[in-house]
Amino acid sequence: MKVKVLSLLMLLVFVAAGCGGKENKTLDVSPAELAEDILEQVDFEADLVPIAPEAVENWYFLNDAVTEYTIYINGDVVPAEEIAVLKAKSADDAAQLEAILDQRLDNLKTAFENYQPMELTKINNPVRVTKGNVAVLVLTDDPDAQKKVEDLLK
Amino acid sequence: MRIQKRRSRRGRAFLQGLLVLLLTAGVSFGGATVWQRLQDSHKIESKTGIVRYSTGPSQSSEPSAGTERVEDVSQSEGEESAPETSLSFEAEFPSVDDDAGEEEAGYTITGAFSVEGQVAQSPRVDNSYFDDAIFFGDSISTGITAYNIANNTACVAAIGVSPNTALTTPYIPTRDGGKVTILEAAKAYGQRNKVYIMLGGNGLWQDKESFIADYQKFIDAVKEQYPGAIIYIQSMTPVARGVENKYPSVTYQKVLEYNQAIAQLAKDNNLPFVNVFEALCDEEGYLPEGVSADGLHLSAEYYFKWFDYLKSHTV
Repeated sequence: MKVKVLSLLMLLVFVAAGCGGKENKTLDVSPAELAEDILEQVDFEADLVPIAPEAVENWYFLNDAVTEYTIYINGDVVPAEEIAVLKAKSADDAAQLEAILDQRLDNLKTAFENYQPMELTKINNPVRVTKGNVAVLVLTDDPDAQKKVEDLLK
Repeated sequence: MRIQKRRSRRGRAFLQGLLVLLLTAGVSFGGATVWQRLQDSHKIESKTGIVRYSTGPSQSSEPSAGTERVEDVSQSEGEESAPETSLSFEAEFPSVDDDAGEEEAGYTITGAFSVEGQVAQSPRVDNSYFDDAIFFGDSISTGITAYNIANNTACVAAIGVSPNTALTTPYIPTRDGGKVTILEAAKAYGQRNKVYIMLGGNGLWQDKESFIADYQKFIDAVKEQYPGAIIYIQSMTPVARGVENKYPSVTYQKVLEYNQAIAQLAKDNNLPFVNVFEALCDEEGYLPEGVSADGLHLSAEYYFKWFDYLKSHTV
């Protein structure tokens, strides 16, 4: 019995050693390049376009925590496909990045629920990956998108 | 006695086992951490080339060939200052700001869908005409901003805006998590001398009388908010064949019929009616095949046609 408990403890130590601590690292990722890679590897129906900096507030309410970003949207509105890559100075600000993405998703839900409810499928099942100081949101019907984005951030 | 000895042996064996396990765990932890760090350092030159771990300030990437870097204010290495927002934006489509070729209209008009009293063709203005303009509309007008069609103008538009909801439904999200109506949101842009309105696509489920009555209320509110401004009433844009499969209340016939009613509304208010429809439709009055993913919303190319038409139809 004790041996089993110890084996379990050891397994936990292994897991902690393998996975722990990494999420808090600061990644030197270029949002523009990461977004381009997502655009290349994830399947999108629409031709997504980057949002001009002066117009970004129409879609995302960025704040001082965001040091760099790239956002692609579908100018044709439907399908509601989108890519947002937000980067902060450090992982301490990751929660702020996630809050920005949460707000965007809330606004999209409100906009589409009485307009094109079918689009809610992808809005309610977004690809979300936050690693260190980078937070990514992708809206797509590509079933493999989550893994593709995670792999890009490995 | 024998049992006590056995227990004592078991206790020692257990302690030895525990020691070995702890040593193994310690070695594993250390080894895994070292391995992880090695992995991290190798990722500096990972195959994707996009993930780089570094303690220094981020480096901006060069724009790729054929694209234009609009703005990039990322911190340079070694600088010690408050972090600024680095805007990674690459425009891959032409901008209307580029007035090269302004003399050539990007649309053709057959005349089959002209409406009596519509704004006639006029000498072409340049993009600065929209400096003091504001656009109100629904999801179709959101493309003006999304496609960066005229970044010198103001556009307040949202998915779902309709003549019957434009005054009352708060569509525009605000930073504090609230929402305001399109006219409330427009106050941020101050006084404007030209107002362009395009509404209708979301109100085709209404009977024509109530549709027009609601549209009139919106016009009245715009007149009040923008005294002295030229208020252009735009037609709805054409729809593709089969659009009703996706938007049941939107039909080709209704768009034609309600556009006529909107033109009459503009006339009754002594406001210019800009018949954008005729610049975007094919010879049968439909949005051409391949222009729209859903039969209603326009691709970037058609926003340029739309604005080409606006530039040569002013009062």
